[in-house]
Amino acid sequence: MDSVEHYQAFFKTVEGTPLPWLETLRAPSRERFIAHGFPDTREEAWRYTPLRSLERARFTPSKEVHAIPSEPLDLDLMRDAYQVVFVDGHFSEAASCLEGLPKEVYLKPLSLALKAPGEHLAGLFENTETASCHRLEDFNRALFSEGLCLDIQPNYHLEKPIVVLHLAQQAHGLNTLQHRLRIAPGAHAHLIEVFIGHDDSPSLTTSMTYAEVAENSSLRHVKLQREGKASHHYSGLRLQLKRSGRYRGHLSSLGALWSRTEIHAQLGSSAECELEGLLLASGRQHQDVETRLDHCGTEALSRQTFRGIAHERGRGVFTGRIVVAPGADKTDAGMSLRNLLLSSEAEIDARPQLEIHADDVKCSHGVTVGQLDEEAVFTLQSRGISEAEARHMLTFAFANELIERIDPASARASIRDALKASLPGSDFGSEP
Amino acid sequence: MSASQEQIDNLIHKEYKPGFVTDLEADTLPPGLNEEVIRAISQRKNEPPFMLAWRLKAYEQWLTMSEPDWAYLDYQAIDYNSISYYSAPKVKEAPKSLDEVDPKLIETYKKLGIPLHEQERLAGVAVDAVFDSVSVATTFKHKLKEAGVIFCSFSEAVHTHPELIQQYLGSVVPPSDNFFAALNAAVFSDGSFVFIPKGVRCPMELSTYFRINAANTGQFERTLIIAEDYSHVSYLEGCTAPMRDENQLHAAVVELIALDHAEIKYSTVQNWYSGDEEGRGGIFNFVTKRGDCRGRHAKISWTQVETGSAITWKYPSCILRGDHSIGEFYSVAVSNHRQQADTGTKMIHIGKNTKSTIISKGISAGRAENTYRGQVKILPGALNARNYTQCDSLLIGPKCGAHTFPYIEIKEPTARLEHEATTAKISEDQLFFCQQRGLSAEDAVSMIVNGFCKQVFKELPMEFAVEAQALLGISLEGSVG
Repeated sequence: MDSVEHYQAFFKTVEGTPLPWLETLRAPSRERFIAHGFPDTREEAWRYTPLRSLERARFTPSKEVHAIPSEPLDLDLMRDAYQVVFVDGHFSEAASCLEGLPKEVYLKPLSLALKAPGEHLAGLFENTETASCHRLEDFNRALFSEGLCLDIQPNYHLEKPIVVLHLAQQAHGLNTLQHRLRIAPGAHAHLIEVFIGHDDSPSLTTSMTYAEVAENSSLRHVKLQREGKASHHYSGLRLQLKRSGRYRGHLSSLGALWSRTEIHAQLGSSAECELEGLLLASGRQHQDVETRLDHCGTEALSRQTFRGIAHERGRGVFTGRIVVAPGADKTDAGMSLRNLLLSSEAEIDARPQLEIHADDVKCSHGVTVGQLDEEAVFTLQSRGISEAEARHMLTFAFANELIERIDPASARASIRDALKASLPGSDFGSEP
Repeated sequence: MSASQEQIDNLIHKEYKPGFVTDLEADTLPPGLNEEVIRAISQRKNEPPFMLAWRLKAYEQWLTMSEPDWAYLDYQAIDYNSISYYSAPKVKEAPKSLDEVDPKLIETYKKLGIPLHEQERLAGVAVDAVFDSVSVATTFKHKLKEAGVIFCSFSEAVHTHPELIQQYLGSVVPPSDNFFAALNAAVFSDGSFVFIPKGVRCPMELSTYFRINAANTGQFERTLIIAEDYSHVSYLEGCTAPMRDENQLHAAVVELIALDHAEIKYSTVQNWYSGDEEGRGGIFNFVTKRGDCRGRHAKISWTQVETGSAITWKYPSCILRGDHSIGEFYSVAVSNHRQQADTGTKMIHIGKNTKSTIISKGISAGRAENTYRGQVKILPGALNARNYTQCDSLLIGPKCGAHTFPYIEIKEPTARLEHEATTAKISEDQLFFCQQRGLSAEDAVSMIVNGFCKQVFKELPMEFAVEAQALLGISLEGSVG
């Protein structure tokens, strides 16, 4: 049985919903996936990211386990936040905490929302492009039945962050989630997504986040990917920034054996989009980040800052495309990607791309690939620090520049700890 | 800036000077491509059997390949059976000296500004002129012979130096490399052959002039340059074509081979007919150019000024195989009206301590699309490899596009790479500053554009640098508004 047939069998489990709009959304994706299957490296967008290991493994949708997860969930970043926990792709009411949620905020897991589908829910799913999808997005759409629904009323500032924790426990489990966010005009929200899993249980998590950030509203977003070392991870963000909408996002992609994160944003006039990200590929890890920013309106601003570290047999792949539509004058778009390549079996592939159809623009990108500064290593050694420790310190400092800017402090601390644990020579990682 | 708009319009409407047709009797094969055509080409050129076998094999491979579609280009499908694959000015016997060459041909070259006689005496540049499909005359042959340099048409080299052809032909760009390289290998009619023996510094700059004259023909030339140990050569290439409403195909292959400590400098000024303002006609330019630094300390440098052609698909590349070898790529690509250019380079680092530099300047005006596409690949073991890439795009007018698609693949931890790209228009501030000092808008634009391209122009040999600046003016003047 080939992989398409294998997954086709599970499509039926989510079919037959009484909601016509949901079926309209799923059906085209389902057909496309059956027709084309998984993408291969002959496709430009997947040139550097083979899916062989993902295709070979046969994942099955995880069963719902009602017990409270065995994993300790008292991560620093969960403190002082609304907590939504998904265990193996299922909402865990026991582990979640939504106490004190103001009435201006509609926040529900999709499975519960579907039981009483109101206008909120349909509204969150409208305006979704169904004619074309980005390959694995089709796979996700054909199978999702869980996720987060967030709708914030106009001019409401939700200061307390919402932490969405995804925990993968079941071996060979397939977890499919789709989050839908709508930030109404003038409103503000702060979302923290965390993916964690067991090192010894391979699983596949696909998670799509669709966010509509309306006029003058803003969204802050932090994503920490720390899946288990044998896992596969695919996640995507589809962002619509309306006039003067603002988005600030940080991505730390540290875990999983194979990981791909896609961030696609459409910027309306005077919108601002700031993306920062960190990729760490060690062992045999494959870390792929793809961004595409469409500047559709005038005077929009975008900044992308990414850092990649590849060591051992890790491979870091980065593709970043900036597209400026005709008439999107006064666009200001900048992208910077810096990489550390630390071992002779590691690899970095980068494709920074500019596609510009307007003339009154300022666009630039810069890429560097290099090593640690040997003089800096020497300076530290001359102060009595061992070479290995010196390298660890410098590598950490390289990544930490981005982590310093994460908000709130609790998320910053969590990500810093996760990074220290994953860096080469992590035994030196203890804080003084 | 309406005054400058007018001037710009004048410039845009400037006629394509080399767009005349020379009325010559030609020996042209009927349109179409099949084995018979290839046999006929080979027979007409009186080629040895190994060449025919090579062509037929390439043709077989071509049949199994499909036209690449990944470039940022939009053009009507090419009907490969409507093209005539061979057209030669009719001559009874091969000319023994310049005096025997058809005076009409010589006249054509004079119109193009390359008087062969004068060049022989004054310019000191040896020219091999390729007219449609055959090489017409090679000047300065004897002087080069004294130095030991072989510079002749490809068809001549096949007869006089078959061993070199057999050894090197297709060793850098094999027929199976890509669709257009396979087509070229099957039907190429002529081109230039250069061999610089050990330790020789070529006493003059070598030059080829390509011209497509006949209608409905394609031009498929092939250039092979071999520089032996410690040798040096600078090679110039220029191209023009008459104005016609149909598109004409040009699919060339250039192979460079540099051995130990050898240096090849290859400069191109490409001014094929670019089509009219509405995009009718113009040359489809699909070219495969590649240099192989086989020896230690070898150096290959590509400099190109691309102002012509309706479609440009061209990626001069360097394979840095030898330790300490150096690859360079300097490019100015200008597209105006409805021209489309997808051009760039590939630098493949294999040897230790290899270095490459890429400077690409794209200028887009009118409704043109200008794309830089490049690859830097550093393989494991290419210790201390170093690459610096800079691609800048200048946009003139709201309807053009400028795109940058670099591919960076690094598998060696001691490698260092820097890549920068910017896209912007000529800023109002710069223009204002110049105008404030008494320059006209037109002059200001021209000055700024020339400054933008300076890094590349300074790499060109003197006589080309002058031509390039003039061409840039012609291609762009008046396109600022």
